[in-house]
Amino acid sequence: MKHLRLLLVLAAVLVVLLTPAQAQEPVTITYWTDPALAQPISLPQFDELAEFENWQAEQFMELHPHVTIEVRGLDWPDLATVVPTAIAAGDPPDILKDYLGRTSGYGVEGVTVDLFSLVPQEEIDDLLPGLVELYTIDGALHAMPTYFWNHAMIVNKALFDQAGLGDMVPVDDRAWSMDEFYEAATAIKAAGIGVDFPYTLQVASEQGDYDFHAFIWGAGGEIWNSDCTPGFDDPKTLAGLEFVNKLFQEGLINSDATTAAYADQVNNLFTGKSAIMGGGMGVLNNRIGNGIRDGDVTVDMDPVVVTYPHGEGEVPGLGVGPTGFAVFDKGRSAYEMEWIAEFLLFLNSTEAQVTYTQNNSQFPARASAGVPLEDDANYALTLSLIQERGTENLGLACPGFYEVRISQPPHWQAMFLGQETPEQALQALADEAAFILDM
Amino acid sequence: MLARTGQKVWEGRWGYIFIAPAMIPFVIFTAIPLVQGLLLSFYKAGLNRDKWQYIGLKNYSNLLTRDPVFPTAIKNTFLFVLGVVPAAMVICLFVAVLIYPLSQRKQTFFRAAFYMPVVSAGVVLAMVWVYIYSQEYGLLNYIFDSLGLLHLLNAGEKIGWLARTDTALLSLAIVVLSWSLGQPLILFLAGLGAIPETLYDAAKIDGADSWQSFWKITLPLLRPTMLFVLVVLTIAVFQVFVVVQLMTLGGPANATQTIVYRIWVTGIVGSKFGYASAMAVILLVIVSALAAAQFKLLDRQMT
Repeated sequence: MKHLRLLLVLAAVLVVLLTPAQAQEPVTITYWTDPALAQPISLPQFDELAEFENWQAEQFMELHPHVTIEVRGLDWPDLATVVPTAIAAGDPPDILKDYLGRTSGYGVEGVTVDLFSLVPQEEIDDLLPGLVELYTIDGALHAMPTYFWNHAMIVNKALFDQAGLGDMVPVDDRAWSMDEFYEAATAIKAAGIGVDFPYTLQVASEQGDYDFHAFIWGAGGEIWNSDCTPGFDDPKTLAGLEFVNKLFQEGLINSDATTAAYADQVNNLFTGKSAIMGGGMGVLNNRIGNGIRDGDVTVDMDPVVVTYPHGEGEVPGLGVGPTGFAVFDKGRSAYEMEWIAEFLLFLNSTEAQVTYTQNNSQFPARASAGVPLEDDANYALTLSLIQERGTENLGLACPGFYEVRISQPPHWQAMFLGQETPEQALQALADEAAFILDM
Repeated sequence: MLARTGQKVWEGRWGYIFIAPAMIPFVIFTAIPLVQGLLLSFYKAGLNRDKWQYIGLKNYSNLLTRDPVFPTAIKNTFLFVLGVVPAAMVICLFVAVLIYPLSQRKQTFFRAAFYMPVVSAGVVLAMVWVYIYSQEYGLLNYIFDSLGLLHLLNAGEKIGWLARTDTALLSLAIVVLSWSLGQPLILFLAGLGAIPETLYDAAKIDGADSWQSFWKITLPLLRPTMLFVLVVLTIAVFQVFVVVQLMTLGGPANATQTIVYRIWVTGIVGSKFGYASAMAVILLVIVSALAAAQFKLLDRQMT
């Protein structure tokens, strides 16, 4: 009896000792991230690619020493090439943070994990319903939204004031018609204060396309219809295209738009060669804010948020694009998936979203994150514009979105260079999109 | 039969052992991927292997009849080759003949100068050329302006060399040309060194001038080198990619799209691996056919 008791005690001790040891089996998680937090506002110590994400990973590893997180930061061009190559090679990361326009392609291909089965329902219930809907592809939550950016027009009102044209900037209703915009642009160019190209744009690559598409949305046109068919045959799309082409041909858009890069756009705005640029809160607070702080802005700067010019009777919404965390299906064990889910929820916690969106001037995907920059007047204004005027359909979750997206710049370039009329450009794009979607 | 083959292999074992260090990487990294690429070209192949679908020749028929950009890419690639290869051959031959009589030290200087771009990072060179061609701050516009050529060419306006469809391809071709001179020059100098001096002495005694010596001795005896340079250069220029990727992204308005750039965009960015493989197979066929034709032509001239 005594021996039996001793044996039972020993067995109990063994169970106690072995159970946690099994739970603490080492796990390595690979996490790749976009460079969106390149210029954080209140965390200046994290100004290098993926420094913030590495710091997050270290915090998680401190809490769970048996987990090793390998973080890799990717620049924008790399996200479009390195990730697909890794997927094709059978070695994608466990978790990827990227924007919907790319992750949706992975969702359509069926290489991501359905997060409805990985993430607890109460976590999903905390996400904005519209975003959950956008991220649901074929009934599966292909990624977990974390924040969304907005796209509007940023006008340097200081230059208009300097030229005595401050009244032409629509600070009251934040909206101007195409005619009003055209007059304002023409007037500031003619004012002789060095604004050579009132609106700065780049169509060298797809990276600047929202600055271009917004004119089409303003005219009531579409790049993508709500049923995910391309909207290149819409007469209003043509009207928007004709307007932007007119701006270019009359020298109201930078003449090097066909080869300019994003840095050139920013430089045009910072040096006063241009007075208007597309962008959202990130451009306003991070890019321009840090530019002023670092002395890169060489002219007076009073950035004002307005919506893009609209056609008669049109009320364009704002471009809005979410970013999320996708988990790739790599045949991991249930135990490993448990920790991947744990890390995913850590990265996308309410607290993390607040920190992230505050530093990136974006909008959180969780309802519980509230309004992280509530004291920022432009942030509140942008939110109210989104609520009042709605959002534009960017087609981010449409099959073939990215390929159709990269097929557009050559035709915008051809139009600017006079080789295609706006009608021809749209026709060529319609044909090309049909070919891409049919393949 | 099998025994005889085994016997032959055994007899030649040392030969096989000696070529193994070259053959094994070739088989793993070239031959097998080549065959895989060929097979892949008959599939609709995206990111998810489970969804790959055999579609026969559809990728090829799409490429040759429906693709709106691929014909432009083929045309541009041919223009690149037709512009760069003859120019590189002529320039290298000319420079080689000029510097060959110089002292060894001077020759070394020129060899190094022309070879420098070959060993320099393409990315760095491309960035330098982007600056040279820049519309606003570019060196080329500055020089043209200083010489008064901008008034002649563009009514005094600065030229966006990479932004215009009529100048972008030529601008890239000049960049590729500048990178392509090093190796041919070294080979031509080696070829010139292999021509016996006695032939020139004999020609001189017979009253031949330098020009006649060049046409009757130098050029015919350099033909094997020229054939090699022509084939290697043609293949290399057919694969032009880095300059396009770094300087124009195939633009403006598809004016600098090339076959390899299309393969990259389609396969890596668009994740259409089967379709991109079909493009690669077409490139392989074109290059192989041209190389064979070049061999045949120059072989005939040599015999």
